[in-house]
Amino acid sequence: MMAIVTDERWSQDLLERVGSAHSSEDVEEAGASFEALYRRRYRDVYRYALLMLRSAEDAEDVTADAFQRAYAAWDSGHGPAGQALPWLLLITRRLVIDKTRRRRLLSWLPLESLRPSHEPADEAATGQTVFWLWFERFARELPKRQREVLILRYQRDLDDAAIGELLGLSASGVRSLVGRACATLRRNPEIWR
Amino acid sequence: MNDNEIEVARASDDEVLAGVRRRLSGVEPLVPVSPAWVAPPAGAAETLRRHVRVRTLAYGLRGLAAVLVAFAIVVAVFGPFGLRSSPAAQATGSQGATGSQGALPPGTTEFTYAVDPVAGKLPTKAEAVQMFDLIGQRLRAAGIGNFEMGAGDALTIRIPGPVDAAAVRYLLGHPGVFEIVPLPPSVYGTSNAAGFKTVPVAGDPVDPSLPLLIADKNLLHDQVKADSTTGSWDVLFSLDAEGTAELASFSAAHVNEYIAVVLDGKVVSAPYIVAPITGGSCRISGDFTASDAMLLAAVLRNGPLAFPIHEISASNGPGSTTRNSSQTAFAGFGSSLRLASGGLEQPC
Repeated sequence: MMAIVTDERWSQDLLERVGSAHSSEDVEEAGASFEALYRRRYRDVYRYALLMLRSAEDAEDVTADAFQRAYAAWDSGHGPAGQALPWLLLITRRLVIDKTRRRRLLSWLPLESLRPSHEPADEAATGQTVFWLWFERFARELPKRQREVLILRYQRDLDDAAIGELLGLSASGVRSLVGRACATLRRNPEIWR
Repeated sequence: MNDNEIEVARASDDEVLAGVRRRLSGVEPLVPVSPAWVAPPAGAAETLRRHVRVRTLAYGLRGLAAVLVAFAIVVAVFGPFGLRSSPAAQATGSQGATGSQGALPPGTTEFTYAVDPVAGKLPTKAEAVQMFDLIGQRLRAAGIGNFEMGAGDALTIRIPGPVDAAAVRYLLGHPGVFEIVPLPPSVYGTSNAAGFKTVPVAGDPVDPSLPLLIADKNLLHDQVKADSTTGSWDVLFSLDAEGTAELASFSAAHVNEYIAVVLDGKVVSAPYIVAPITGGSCRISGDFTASDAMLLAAVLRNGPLAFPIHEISASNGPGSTTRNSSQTAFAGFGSSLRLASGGLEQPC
């Protein structure tokens, strides 16, 4: 399940994952506290929201909202049937779609001040800018669903079946989206090299 | 194709994906660690549960029609006797105590609404959720931030603390359909010459046979807001491109004629056109109080309710305070909303 990752920026996350790899199933399924799930999955949910919305502010809102809703469901006995991450991401995905829809409304408005910010809220480090510049390029080349599949694939705890469930596709549908994304990317090596 | 591309073309999917993953990992520094978890208070969970109870809501609303019919039959058959035999129940009836409110916390007011079918149909699951969100947005836009909503057979809204019941009724009682209707000068006259009918004032129903100039779909709901920069409370609104063009061409050809700004079939304001309105941005001005303007903006801002709802009951928990002082002010755009004619200006 764990793949070898070379990038050092990933290492912290990797450690987190390795550290809890064996216990993850227990945490998620054996009725452990919601707080444990929150601590464990906060970054996964936030990362997904951030990559989908491309705004730290919106990602923060959506993540908070997603966990609030998840808690309400959990609290009333409507927690995840199987794994918790796909369940959390499903809640998050709905909020992301809702947010995007609202943004689309906003972007119709002619007012400059209301234009959605596609830039990260605090453009401090150049590393961030470099990442977002790359991501803009990545997003420009790939249609939304292909992009989303690759973002979800990046979450190593999700298999194609789980991703398919999230997107309303079969596992083979997911694989074909990945295949098409790869074909596009192969023509644009600067995106993945 | 140059050499480089040929080489790249040979890259396997795994290589490409590994590359993407490596680049995507650049997001990690941007992902914060989780802030401390604060579980919402027990009551708050009820509000949030609505999204999980979508199924209950949808089935509940579908079932509501049957329940209402059964209720109507029971009332028709037994009602008169039942009420006569229990005068106490009749006395509390105005507060709508339904008997199921035993658990209402102190200081809380609960409003219960039923959904009216449109063309014989009740909302689907998705529509019900949308309505739920919309009602929440209206309440929040009007500054009522602290409330809980639930849905079983009916929609209930609980508001702890002091509540302006009239404001809540205003917000929920209006489907929120916005229209602009030209008032034909042959009937209503112009600003210079009176017609044989008087120009309607706020609250008057508008003649439904008059053709629309601007429909609700042409209103940019997001842009509606209450504004007091001119010293009085006004409501600002903007139209989309189609609406703007319609209004511009109409107003250029009909200077000095009256038009009616209409909410749910009732006139909000009937100004006459001073000059062509080309910007698509308008100001409804008049004798709005701050809360009048905010409530109107809150209703318009979030778009119309797909299905109208009507109040079944309102009940108060022990010790709750309901501010009813302004009730008459909002009753169907009552007499307190006197709108000055000629109040339509542009741009805002």
